Amino acid sequence: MAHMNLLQAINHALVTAMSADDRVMVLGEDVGHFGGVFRATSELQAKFGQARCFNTPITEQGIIGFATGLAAQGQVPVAEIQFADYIFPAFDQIVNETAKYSYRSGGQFNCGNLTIRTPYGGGIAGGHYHSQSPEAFFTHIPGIKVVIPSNPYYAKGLLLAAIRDPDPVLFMEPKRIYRAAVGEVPEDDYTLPIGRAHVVQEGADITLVAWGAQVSIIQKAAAMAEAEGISCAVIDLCSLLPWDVNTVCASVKRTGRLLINHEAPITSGFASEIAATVQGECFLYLEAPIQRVCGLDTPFPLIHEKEYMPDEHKTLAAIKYAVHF
Amino acid sequence: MAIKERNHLQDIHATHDVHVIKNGLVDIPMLQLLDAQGNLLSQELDLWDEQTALRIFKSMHYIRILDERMVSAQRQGRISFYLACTGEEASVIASTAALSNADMVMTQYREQGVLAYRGYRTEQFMNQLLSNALDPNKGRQMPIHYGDKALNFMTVSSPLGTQIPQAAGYAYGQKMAGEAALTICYFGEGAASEGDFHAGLNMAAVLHCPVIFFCRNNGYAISTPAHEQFAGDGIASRGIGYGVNTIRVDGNDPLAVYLATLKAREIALTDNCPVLIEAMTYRLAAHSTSDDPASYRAKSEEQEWQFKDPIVRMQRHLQQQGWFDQTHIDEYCTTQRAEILQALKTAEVKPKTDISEIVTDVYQDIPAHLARQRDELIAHIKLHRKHYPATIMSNKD
Amino acid sequence: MQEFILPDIGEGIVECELLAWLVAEGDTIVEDQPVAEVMTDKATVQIPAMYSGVITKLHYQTGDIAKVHQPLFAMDVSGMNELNSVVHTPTYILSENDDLDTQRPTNMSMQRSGRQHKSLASPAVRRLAKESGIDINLIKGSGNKGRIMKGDVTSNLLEFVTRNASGPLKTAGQLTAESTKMRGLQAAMSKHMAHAWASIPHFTVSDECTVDNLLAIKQTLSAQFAQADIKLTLLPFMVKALSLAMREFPIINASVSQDGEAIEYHSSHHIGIAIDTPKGLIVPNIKDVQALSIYQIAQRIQELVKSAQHNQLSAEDLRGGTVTISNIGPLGGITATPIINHPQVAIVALGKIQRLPRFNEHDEVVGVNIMNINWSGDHRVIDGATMVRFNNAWMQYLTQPVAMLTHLR
Repeated sequence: MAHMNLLQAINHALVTAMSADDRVMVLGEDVGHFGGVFRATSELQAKFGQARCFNTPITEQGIIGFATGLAAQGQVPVAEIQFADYIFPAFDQIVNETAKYSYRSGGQFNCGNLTIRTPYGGGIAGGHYHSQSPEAFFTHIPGIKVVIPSNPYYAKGLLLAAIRDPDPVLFMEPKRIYRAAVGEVPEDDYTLPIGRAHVVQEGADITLVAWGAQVSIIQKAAAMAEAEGISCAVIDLCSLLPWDVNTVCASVKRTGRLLINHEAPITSGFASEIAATVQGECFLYLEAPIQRVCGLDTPFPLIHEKEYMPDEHKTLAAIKYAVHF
Repeated sequence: MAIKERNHLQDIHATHDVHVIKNGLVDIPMLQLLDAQGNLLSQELDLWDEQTALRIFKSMHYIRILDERMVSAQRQGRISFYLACTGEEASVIASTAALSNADMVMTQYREQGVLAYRGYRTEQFMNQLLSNALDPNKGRQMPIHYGDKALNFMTVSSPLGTQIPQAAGYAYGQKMAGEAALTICYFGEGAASEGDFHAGLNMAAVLHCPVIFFCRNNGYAISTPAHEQFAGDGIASRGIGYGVNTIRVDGNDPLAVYLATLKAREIALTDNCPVLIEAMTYRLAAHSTSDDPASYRAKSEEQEWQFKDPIVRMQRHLQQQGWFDQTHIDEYCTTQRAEILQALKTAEVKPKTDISEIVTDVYQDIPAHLARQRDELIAHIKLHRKHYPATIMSNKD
Repeated sequence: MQEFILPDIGEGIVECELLAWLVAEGDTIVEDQPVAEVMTDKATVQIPAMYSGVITKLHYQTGDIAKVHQPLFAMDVSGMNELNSVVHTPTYILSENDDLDTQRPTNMSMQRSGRQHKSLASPAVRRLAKESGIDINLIKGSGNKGRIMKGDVTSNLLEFVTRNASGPLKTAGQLTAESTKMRGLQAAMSKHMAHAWASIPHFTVSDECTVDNLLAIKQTLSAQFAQADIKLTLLPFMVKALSLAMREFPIINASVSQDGEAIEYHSSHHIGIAIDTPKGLIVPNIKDVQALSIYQIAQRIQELVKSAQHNQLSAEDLRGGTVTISNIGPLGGITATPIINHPQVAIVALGKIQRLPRFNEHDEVVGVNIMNINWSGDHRVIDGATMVRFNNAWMQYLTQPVAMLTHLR
């Protein structure tokens, strides 16, 4: 066991993966000698050589196209997109190529070895272009998986699982807690299952769901609710595509209430998918309307970041609304 | 480890006059080895052998017959869509002939000649075109979106240019795996306007990828002529900009294309670098069966290029070499025409793919939500069978 | 004779102009021979024949607009079968069973209530009502804008279900191992008891009640009541005495609010009587005991018992009770810990009357008729002392019925 922050856990996962399998390669902007703008890939080039950890020119479409071809050849690329805000030039490659590689060829070809890593999310005074949470766009793409860790233990286990998963995986890292999230992480090689949610705590009155950095927010809100006599179940979704419908629904059937929290704008955010599925599966158990505590439908603001964020206070207010409905 | 000192100006010297580099300053001539009559233009070069030449020639005939047959089939409503490569047979087939079978081929969609040369069987073409249960794509894609793992032919996708950076990555992987093989990537001059072209070439050069980028400059992108596609000197001039070794070739000269590709292959594998080949050719065909060129180009222009038909040029060359036998090729064409027609008829009555395949290959294993969607779909169809009479469902469901 | 259908030759076109026929009716043609030239907005194309044969009919004239997916021309292929490919057949042959549009999935049963308005209730509450066999539209909601809350359903459980009670319990004598789903009254009872036990902290207080004087009065008045066809028991006296005692201890005649934060005192004494029927235990109540005479109470009890036996109790009989008496004594038993009939706060179970030896005031052993009284109370709002004091007050009337005279109105 070692005490690590989220970044160190990610770096650890990369070292572990690259040591275990010669085919694992890391590429992206500034990931080489520099170690990445967040130091997630630090020392990898020194340890494994430039052929396996290298800088690319600034071209997200190129990075993902290149990595897709590399994966199709049989190598195991881990491609970094420096900020999720910059992933959009690669959207065509991801949607039309990466996600369809296997289906369109009847399974003759696949790029399942590909993992895309990208920091996402606000809380670092990043404004429009360093704070976005674009996960909803990608959950709408059949053929890829979307995974989001909330703490160092999950980051390492899920990243190793993503790298080894037979399908292409988008691994989104909550940058706000890169250093703030610390915990005990096993130093050996381990994976955690993709598609399985993590029940952080059980509760009786309402089920709270979030992922990434917002898990600690709903945990705060749960503690505040507890002080007022409301018992909250807290679920870290971990995977968004596929997502653990059974775990969430089993909890909602017990509590009768659901609240989903995400930074991304509320309209068509991933909470919509969860709410629609849960009301379909748990309709007769619902005691109150499903609550979505999310960002506003605006570009991510700078000076109004605090007010924009779906914080624990907004979450608590929604909890109480649901419980007293 | 000490950080390297680099001087990004080291290859640049100063000037004291305003030095404007004009477009077209670099002369990029077009390699031509056979004239229109099929005569060798240089006695110095290494020639190909008769077997290779004949195989190329027959493949060119074959693909032209297949194209004619399938355009006609589309007009008869037997397939929904087809795309012919008329006029570009030399560009594609002669370059394929210069490769190893281990080389990966990534194409745009007008390169069916690659498959013909590598031995894709007529029934295999037909199964994909008719989307029957034997289509390796399991009926998922439109006609002409072939893919064959055994022949190292990457499955075609419709978006333009996406294969270009993928080819660079694939080649990088081949290099890392120590394979004595490279990747060739075909695309048209129109696709070369896409961002993926620039991304792919730049990355291939910077990352030392053994890849041949083969541009079929055929003059048109649907209705858009080349002069509305770019202002520079073709696509070849861009190679220079990205630090990529570049060869321009007469795309309708099979021998030139063959030797250019051989050379490119040697350079790419020896130096682990990309090579750009721009083949100057002409799209005699319409863009596809949805297109009629009469509305955007003159018949006289087409006729001019018909005189440069690569099959005719090849025949003349074979005749020059004493390798041509009229009876033999006539028999070949007649047989192929009949076999192709028969294969079409056989393929079009074969059943389509079973409906349960609709959810396979999205992921390696079928996830729970897809299994459920499939089951609900099948249940629905069973309940309303008369509205879905053509659906193939195995009885065990 | 084969009709050639004009295909969609260009991604979703619906029609094209027939520019020219390249054959005439009566012409013998071969497979692939160009037959017509048509123009769409994308292209001008030639249509080749799929079969060899003789053209029998051209369906359009030059310049006409031909419709896609409609016949373009007809030809006779019958004389030249060996040259033609297999005629396309659909892959699935229709049978008589295919008209499944009339079939509906079996899990979809749609019963509409006759009411025009729709009750406001959350999905969870609706499910509870449905499982209890209650029509949610008949429940009066206590929530905002008449919204039906869970408590409205549970407090109405018994009264609705007993009226629709169906099916006897398992009869004695059968010794089989099986599992039967609880339905109707049984299910409602089960839920009602569970809810009461879960939401009310019960405590029990017991005492012995000397009923000799009560028995004497009954003896005295029996004949008079019999004339009115009423079989007199001790119960009417006990009911009236209960009402008198509750005047002094109104907490016994109260309820705790839904949110558990208020005590609701009821002005009327609607005293419930547990009645054993073949279908199970039913608890109708006597309305406004505070305003009834013992005679009226006795009458009412008799009516209710008869109605219960014949399953004719009304909803009104079953709802609104404020306290309950459960007289199990006639069957047996001494001590009991009855479960409160939520949303009431107290219930009394009466044990059997036993003739027992007791010391009198002179230390002599005398034979006394004793009935055990067992109260369960809601400990949220009733403490032990209050319960005992109240029971003492009640027993005062039971042991010395003449004391009731002082409160006669």
